[in-house]
Amino acid sequence: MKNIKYLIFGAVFSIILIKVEAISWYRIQEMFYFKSFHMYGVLLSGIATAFISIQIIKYQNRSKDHEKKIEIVPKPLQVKANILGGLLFGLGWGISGTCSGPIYSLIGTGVMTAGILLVGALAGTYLYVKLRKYLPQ
Amino acid sequence: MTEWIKHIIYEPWPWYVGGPLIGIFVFVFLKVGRKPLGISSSFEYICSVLPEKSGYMKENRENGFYQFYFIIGMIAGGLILNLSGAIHNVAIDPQAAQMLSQNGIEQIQGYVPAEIYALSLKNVFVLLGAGLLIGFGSRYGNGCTAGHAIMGCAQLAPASLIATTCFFIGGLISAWFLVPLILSL
Repeated sequence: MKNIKYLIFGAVFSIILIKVEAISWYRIQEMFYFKSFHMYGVLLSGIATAFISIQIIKYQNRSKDHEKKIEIVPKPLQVKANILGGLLFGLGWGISGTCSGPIYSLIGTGVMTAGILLVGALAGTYLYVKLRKYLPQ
Repeated sequence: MTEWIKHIIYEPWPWYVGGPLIGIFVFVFLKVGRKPLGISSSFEYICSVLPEKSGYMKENRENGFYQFYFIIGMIAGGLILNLSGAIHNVAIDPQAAQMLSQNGIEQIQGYVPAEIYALSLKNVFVLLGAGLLIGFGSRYGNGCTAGHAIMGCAQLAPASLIATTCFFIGGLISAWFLVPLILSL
């Protein structure tokens, strides 16, 4: 039962992404054409607000017992993986106009072919898990 | 129902509403959900049902169960808007629309163009290929737009700043070269 709340979190996050049009292929192309501030505004104001959110959590953590602290660990620096993985992800993002979350949102809004993206993404993930020992990390 | 509620439901939200809401979502998700925002790890969770020897995925199955609910919620969120008729056409910048039309996008309707998302043999390959890049790239790079660009950049994590820069470089290559190429085929 404790997992039910994530159902609501998922729905809320999805609705935000849809209403702000972050799931739109057109908006993503427009962003890469540098023709509108919209997506930059979403990302930059999202990062700025998230930055404040994280600072508040870190501040609240100071007065809490160890178990009650909310862990916020930055992702480890793996320069080669971050660069190569980032570039490949970016290529897929530019073609499909969707990143990971919007794939699920699009399926919900009735774009059934986004399911093909999901199949591709799962295949890509499986491929990565199989190949990870041969890749520079 | 008052006008402004209708407006919120049926009209798209400007960036200065949606962006900060994402940041506030990060707060609530950390506080109540006790998880950092991240989506692409859900691919690993789904894949963890597949056989794999190293034990890398097994760990995922145990820690990532909440993601099952989260992604079902994400699909449900889209469905709720779909059923309530809150899906709108996206109005992009006229110059960008012109550039898209020159590349072969006939009309801007819905959230995604028929030229890439309508079911056809070509599009199956295009979408599978793009999905493959998204899945492989996000796992290799250890995050996507949610985990790196929003959550990671907000922590000023070097890994995330590098990854986000590379997301943009990859995206620019796609938007300027690969998408026109695909549309011309």
